[in-house]
Amino acid sequence: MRTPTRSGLLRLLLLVATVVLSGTVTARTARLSPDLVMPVVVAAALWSGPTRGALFGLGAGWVVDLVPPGASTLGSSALLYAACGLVAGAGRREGSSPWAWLAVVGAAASAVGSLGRALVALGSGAPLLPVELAGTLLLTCVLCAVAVPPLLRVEHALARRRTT
Amino acid sequence: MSSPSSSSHRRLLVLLVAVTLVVLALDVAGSRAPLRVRALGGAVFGPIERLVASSREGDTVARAGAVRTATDADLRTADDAAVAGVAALRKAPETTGRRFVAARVVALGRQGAAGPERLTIDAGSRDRVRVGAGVVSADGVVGRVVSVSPWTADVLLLGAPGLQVAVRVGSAGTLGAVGPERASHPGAAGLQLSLVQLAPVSAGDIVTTLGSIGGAPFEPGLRVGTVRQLDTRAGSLVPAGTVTPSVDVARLDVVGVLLPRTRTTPRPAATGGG
Repeated sequence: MRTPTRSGLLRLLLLVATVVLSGTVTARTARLSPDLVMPVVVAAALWSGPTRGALFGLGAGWVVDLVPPGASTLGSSALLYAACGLVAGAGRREGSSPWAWLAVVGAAASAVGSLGRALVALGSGAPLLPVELAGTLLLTCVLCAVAVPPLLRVEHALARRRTT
Repeated sequence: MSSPSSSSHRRLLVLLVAVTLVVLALDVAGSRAPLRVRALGGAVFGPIERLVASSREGDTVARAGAVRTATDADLRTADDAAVAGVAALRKAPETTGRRFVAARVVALGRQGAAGPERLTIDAGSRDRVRVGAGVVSADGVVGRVVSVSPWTADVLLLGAPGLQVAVRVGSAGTLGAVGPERASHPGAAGLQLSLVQLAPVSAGDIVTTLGSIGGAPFEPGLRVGTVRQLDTRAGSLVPAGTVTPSVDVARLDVVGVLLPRTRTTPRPAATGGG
């Protein structure tokens, strides 16, 4: 049986930390806050490709669904982040990618996430708050552009250490 | 050609997406199985959230626990925000003559595009909190408990889809129902009010709960909000309007979970005819 890699454990810890932080701090202190989970999903997907990216997104979404208070419909975040992981993984390129490309991939994944949330809200009969939705999307795009390159550098460093 | 590893990953992805779809369908259908999954999540992650929330406020877990064990003397000399919150909750009409468990809000959900629909409190099944219990603050109704783990409980907020509350409006006690706002009003949190009949209701009227069967989740007379505006267009089949909720969710700290009243003596029978 394969033992979990160091990067896998690091991703899991980072994921739980961001989800807990989202509910306990950012959601209570700011009216508009970025999606803290998205950069972690985008970085993992850019590193490992579309299928593994979707798998990681699905797992990340399950953490979001299960950390209290969780999503209003169990499994909805899992499917949403799986789609984001798939989109971000499709943007994977061999070798190092320029910053602008990482920002574009982050924005595309964030847009998929926002669209999914809008559809979930409409499907459940909740009122849609377009200004809040657009604000969250903008903040998440900025966060992805800032946070994804260093996260990828950490993945790269861990992979290099594994091979030596 | 794809490698065996990537094709096995693809199969795993398809399998896990199928399992997720089944869980999602069960949750939408109202099955009890997803509740157990949520309770498991609460049992694992709830204590972490309690710890993070208490450290964020420069508090200790023991001090937060004092919220539930505070004596009257403590409350009179309260300089702690949480204990002062319990003092305000005890004085509120929502808790007068009612048994409740005080708790603090530890997490607020912001997953949807419609703002927060759920929150987490630091009281769970060990504190006698049960699914279906009403939750109030010193300002009025907060919501209903929908999931419970040993250490935490999740509360569906008033205004979230799936929570309709029967209400009385104004001094005449006109019957109606309050639920999520149908139209989008960016930046203005409100509730949709539907009256059952044409009645002299005006803006500023107080909206209170009608009361649930058995007193759970809501007993009669709990404050829901005030009428903000009424739709007076001719031709409306059902009079409708919007209500400004009495509780500001973003500033919630101490809340009370109402415990059900158990009747020990049968209701006396009456004889008509004077």
